[in-house]
Amino acid sequence: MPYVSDQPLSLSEAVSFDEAEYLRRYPDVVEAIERGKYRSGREHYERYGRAEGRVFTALPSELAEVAVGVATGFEPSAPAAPRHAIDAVLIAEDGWVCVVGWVDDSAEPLCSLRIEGRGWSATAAGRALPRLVRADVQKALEVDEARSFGFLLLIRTGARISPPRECRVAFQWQGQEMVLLAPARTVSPQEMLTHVLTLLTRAGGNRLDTMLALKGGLGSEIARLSRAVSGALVRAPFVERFGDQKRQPKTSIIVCLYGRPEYLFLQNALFANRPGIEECEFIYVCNSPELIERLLKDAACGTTIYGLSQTVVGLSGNAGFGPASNLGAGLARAGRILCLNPDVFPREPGWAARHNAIAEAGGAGSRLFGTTLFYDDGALMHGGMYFALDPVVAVRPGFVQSDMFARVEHYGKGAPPDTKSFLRPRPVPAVSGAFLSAERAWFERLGGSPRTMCSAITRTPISVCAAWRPVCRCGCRICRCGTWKGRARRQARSAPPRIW
Amino acid sequence: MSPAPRQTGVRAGAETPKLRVLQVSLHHPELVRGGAQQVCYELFEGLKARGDFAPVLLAATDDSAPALFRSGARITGFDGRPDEHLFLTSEFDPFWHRSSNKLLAESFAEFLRLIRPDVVHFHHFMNFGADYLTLTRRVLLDCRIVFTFHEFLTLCHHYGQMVRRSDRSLCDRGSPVRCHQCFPEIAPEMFFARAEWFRRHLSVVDAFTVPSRFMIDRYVEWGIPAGKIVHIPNGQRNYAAGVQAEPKRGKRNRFGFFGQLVDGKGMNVLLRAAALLRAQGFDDFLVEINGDNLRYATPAAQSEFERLRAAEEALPVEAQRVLFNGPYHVEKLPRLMARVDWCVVPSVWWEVFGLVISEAWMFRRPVIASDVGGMAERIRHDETGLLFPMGDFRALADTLRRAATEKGLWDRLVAALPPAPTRETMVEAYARVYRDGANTVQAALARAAE
Repeated sequence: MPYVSDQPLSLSEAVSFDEAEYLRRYPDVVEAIERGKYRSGREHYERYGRAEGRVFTALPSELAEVAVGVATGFEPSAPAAPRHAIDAVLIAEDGWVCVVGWVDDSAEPLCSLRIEGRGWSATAAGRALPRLVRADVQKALEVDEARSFGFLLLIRTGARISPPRECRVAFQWQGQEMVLLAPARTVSPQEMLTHVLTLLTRAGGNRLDTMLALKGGLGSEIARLSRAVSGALVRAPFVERFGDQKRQPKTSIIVCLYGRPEYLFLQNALFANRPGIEECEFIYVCNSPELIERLLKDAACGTTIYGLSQTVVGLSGNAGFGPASNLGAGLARAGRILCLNPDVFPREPGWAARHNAIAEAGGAGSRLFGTTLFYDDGALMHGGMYFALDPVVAVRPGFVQSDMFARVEHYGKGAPPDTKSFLRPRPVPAVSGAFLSAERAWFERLGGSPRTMCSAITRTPISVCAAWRPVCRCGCRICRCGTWKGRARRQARSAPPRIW
Repeated sequence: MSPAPRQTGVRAGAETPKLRVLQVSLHHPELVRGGAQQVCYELFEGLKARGDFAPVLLAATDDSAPALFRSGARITGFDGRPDEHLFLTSEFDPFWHRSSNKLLAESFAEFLRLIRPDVVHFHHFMNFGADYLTLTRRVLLDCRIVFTFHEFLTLCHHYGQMVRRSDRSLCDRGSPVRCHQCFPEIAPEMFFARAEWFRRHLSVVDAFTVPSRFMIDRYVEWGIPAGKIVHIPNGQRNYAAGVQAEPKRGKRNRFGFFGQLVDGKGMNVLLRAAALLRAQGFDDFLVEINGDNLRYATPAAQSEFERLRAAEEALPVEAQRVLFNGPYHVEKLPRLMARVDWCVVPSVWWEVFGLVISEAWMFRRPVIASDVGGMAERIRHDETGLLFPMGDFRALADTLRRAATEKGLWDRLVAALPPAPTRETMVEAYARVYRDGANTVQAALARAAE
């Protein structure tokens, strides 16, 4: 008799349903098919598997339902295990391992999580496992309050490993262990970093939850991975110099480019032929490999049209603002470093001469200084930066948890352009990396730009200069295009693909 | 302002050497018809006819003429014509108006060094790049750079027409936010950066010219120094020279449209007006549509044109009141103008000058035009022509009916028609700018006006 399902697969299920994977996971279903009870794994899932919460994909996509984990070796007589699942296991050959999953251990806390591969293993204590809020899990479990069901384990096994096809992941509670065989996906360290950061940006719940996960060890592991990724990228840059390289510049202007190629030719046009610019060289460090070829052409055009001396440095990936800046500083020929954002343009033609004069004059405040930045509509964008502390709270069962977080703020943001209090030269807690002028020797002594991302979630650079005692000076009036949500929208479109 | 163009090799008592002028055009009119390139070519030919200038033409061509792209070449000759060259553009960005092809920039620089013009007159930066102005200044420190604004491309990314994309109303002021409203996919700060990009490169220009006075205020408000802009109307050779006088006619009910069949030219406004007249029971008129390039109109405009055309051509021949004559060359103007009494210019943008108005005046045809921009500046309503509210086909229908029926109107207007600006007048004005610069010419014009 032909089978007609009265509960056919939904569109998302139909897209994601993996017959082979379903049969691989559930030998009992295979046996039932052999006995003629069902014609396919899909039929079983439609009739019973969905109600039982069985998993039907190898790497569940966003469209798939959250599946309730079913452990192998389940014994009906054993006490019911807390619900749990593994969403993805990512392995990099240099030993980084990332495990993403969730567990409802609200009734019985998880003791540990152990992952085993071919010749290696790693164990994380339950209380040390970084936890995240997962809205999809909450919805599937029909739980109203936000709880950190999700977890994200990021570890380095310490040695190169041969990525297995699947890993054994053991959830351990008091007196009970549940083991899942999870397919492992081989990724590069850079891909792993991108996926981890993407997951963090999508984590739900309170900011405090995510921050606590970072503070609990995840943040330092992400920083280690970031340094490893960046370090590999900056070790082998492509460098091409244009224009007159014999002349010794007084200032090396370092610009990190990401995502938009037009800023190079715009800066070429708007900076060129201004008093003092002939004493500067430009070093463009490209964090977007797909733009390198275009930038080389534009730099060649710029040298032909404006006579600029500039260098283009290409990397095979996004090393981040800090490492890219340091790389540029390492290639600089001048004794003065000026870190400049690509969307910064001069408002006054004589800014370069004035900058060079301040730098040469020496004295207090010349070792490291920034300048006032303006929006394209003329309003003040920056008059220096400072840090504010905010309490962030999360209501837990029976208590309110809180922590203090630092927030970066800007003096005079949005103020009229002639607001004197923000224009006078004065010491400030920090200046923006959008315009940061420093003595090169001192810059190198202090270790250069922070190599770790201060804001791991958004990957936006924060120029933390509190220990460097910077000064915000006016005079080198600079206009910055600022950001628009459309750019964020564009970045979202080019965000890395889903990892599962 | 740069010094006067150098004159090399001048000995006392020796003949003054010719001033070498390089005309830079976005297209060659032989390949792509259009007002800017036509004016540039008129100037080129006019300078050649004089004995004191040595003009050179460099016209860009794009992939619309692929056969002219010789392998490895960037600048070539054109069709065996002396002193005419083609610039084979590529990798052109129409938002920033620049090319990222460095070999083109190098070739342009080399061309300048070989030709060594005393004056470089840009009629556009489209297909070259706005940064070629800066490049020219860098290569030729002493040359005089002249730039003619043939539309508002520097101010407006919408084809330089200053017509709002939202409702097709006229725009009189660009700004980052307003431009973003027309192009929501482009951030306001990008329009700010675009304006800065253009200002930077235009800062090397010694003299600007505009064909209509109302453009001066627009550009001065944008940032061009007022002392650098000169008003020089576009001139053309007289296409009516040698044409015999026509016999008098009783009725003056024949209307002609001459121009590209693109949205801005408003041909659909005329077609709607004709349809309305017929619907109102008035059919003692004839409209002739002369022009081409419908493929460059928007799909909506193309669709409406084709629909109106189909409806007209479905009528019995004796009932048809609108004829579609197709494309034309300026050499055909005498014959085409002889078939009409009025010239209709229903443009729905500022129409900075309207060469067709000059062409109509050459043949002593009064013009019925939209009441904006260059049209309103050139035509005095009810004295030298008739104006109607831009885009209002009902008002145009009323105007057409009046023109066709009011006794003595045509003769009165024709008697008052000003002469069309001639090529020689335009060339003389440019010659003074080339030799003396903008502010000297401005002062002379001001004295003449007194």
